[in-house]
Amino acid sequence: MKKSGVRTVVRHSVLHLVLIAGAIIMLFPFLWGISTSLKDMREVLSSPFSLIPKNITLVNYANVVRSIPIVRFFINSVIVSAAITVSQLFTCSLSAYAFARLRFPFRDGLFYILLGTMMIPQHVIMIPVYIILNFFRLIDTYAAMIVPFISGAFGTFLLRQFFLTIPKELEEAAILDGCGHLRFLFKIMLPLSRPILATLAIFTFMWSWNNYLWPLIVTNRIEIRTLQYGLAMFKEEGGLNWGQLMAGTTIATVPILALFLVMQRQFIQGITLTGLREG
Amino acid sequence: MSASKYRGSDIKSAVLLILPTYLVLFIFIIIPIFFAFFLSFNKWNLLGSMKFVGISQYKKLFASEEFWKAVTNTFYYSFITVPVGILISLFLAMLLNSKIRGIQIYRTIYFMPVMTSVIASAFIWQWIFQSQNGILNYLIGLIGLKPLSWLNEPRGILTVIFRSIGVTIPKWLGGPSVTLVAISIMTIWKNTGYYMIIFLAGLQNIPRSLYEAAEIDGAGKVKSFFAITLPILSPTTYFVLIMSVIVSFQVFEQVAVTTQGGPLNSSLVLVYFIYQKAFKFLEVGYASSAAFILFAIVLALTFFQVKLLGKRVHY
Repeated sequence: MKKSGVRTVVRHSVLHLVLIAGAIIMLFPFLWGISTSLKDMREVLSSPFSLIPKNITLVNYANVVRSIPIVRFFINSVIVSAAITVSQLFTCSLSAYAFARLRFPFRDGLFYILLGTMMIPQHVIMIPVYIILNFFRLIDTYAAMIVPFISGAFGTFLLRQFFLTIPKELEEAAILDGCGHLRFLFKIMLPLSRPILATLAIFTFMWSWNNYLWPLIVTNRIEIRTLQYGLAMFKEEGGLNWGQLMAGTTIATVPILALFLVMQRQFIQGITLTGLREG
Repeated sequence: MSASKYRGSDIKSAVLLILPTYLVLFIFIIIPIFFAFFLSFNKWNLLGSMKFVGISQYKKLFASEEFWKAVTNTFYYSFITVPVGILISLFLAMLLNSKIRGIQIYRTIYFMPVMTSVIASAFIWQWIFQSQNGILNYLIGLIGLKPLSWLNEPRGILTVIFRSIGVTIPKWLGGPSVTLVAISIMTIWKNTGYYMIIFLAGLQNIPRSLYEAAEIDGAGKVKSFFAITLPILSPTTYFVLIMSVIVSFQVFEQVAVTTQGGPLNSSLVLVYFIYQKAFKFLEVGYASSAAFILFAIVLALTFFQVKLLGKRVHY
């Protein structure tokens, strides 16, 4: 008994050592970025390196805020990501409900088309989508960043799979009570589907917040740039001032990391749910 | 039983419910994919008139050294990031699958890079990789290694390694450029946490009683890993493999914001090639042919994995 207790302690200590080493590698780039952002220009380029700045300064942050409208970029990112997320939740719930609960002609065929579209990489169709948006004179507007993503195959698929697990008896009782499909969806199905809706919301928000390619292609005006694009332009135009670049990167990263830390249970549960869909 | 399989009211509701989603799919995915296919046979610069050129743009691609460079680099990138990423994430997931204290904290830390945008991570890593003043060169200097221009070194990684011990190897044996390896390293750092969580979920679904039974039968840790863990985990591994291959062929942002494909095209990847041709040089048709080759490669690889591995997966 005692011997196995000692063995467990040793085993756990080794495990912790390996895990801590891994954690240091994972955390180090963040810490190094933040540390650099708090150093003055001389210290940034000085050797030997120190993780903790000798003179902590906010001058880099001040310079970023002065030289680019980073607050504006931030608001733009919020607008675009929130609009995409809210509309995806809405439209995907509707279509997922139809596939999970209604019987209509060509249902299976339409569903296979939906699954097929998930196989198509964004990069294969980006040129035509650009041309289509250009045709509708939407290039360089918020709409160009939002409209192509207001619904999606992935969201529909994810929600449909979940709706299928909700017992049908509920629905029959509700329909007998004279409850229409829409009311049933919003009053009963959606409240029961909170975990999966949270998953979809998180994924969609994270994806659009971090999206760089699309805003890069469809926008030119500085006022509607999102944070990722704004940050990349800042680097390209401002030369390599690492202190400032790290300050900008920190500003762009902290909100999404904070959101993650607050909602990490849902995040991890969400990943788990999607990862296991094949299994 | 009514004569029709469907209720009229159901059909009407269904049409209304799926309409928004199918409008989006139709306008922004289905029309574009046919349009892209059509464009790949036409020469067009977005402004002037379109000219049908048959398969000549595909021929031009196959004759283009730059294009083959992009294809080779993308395959190299995939060969590095997929296996290394899967091994590391599986290893971490197995460590985290034991009942030890602080597991939540580790999980959170390992997952943080996943939340960070590719742009932000690329900037931080570019700073780490700087040849002058970069911390990585400083650190490898401490153990006596020579500094490298991580993101500005077109020579193959093997060339550089063998060179450092005084051996010169032929150029075609040099492997991916140091720059491409550096880009792969930052990607592995960024994505490991995601696959780790998926593996962890798979591992937690394996009943403990199986291991206990194996232990009673006298099976060691290694044996039960191969006899229990790997087979039961196979659907998860299969999913992670297919996903990560698809994702690896779409690499773009890391390259776009750090090296722009350079130096000497040594980090040029397919999507960056397409982007450059389409939006910098306005060779929209040519870019579309390249995009279709990318699509064909991804489809073929996915099909290959499904055929080859699908039967071996235990559900």
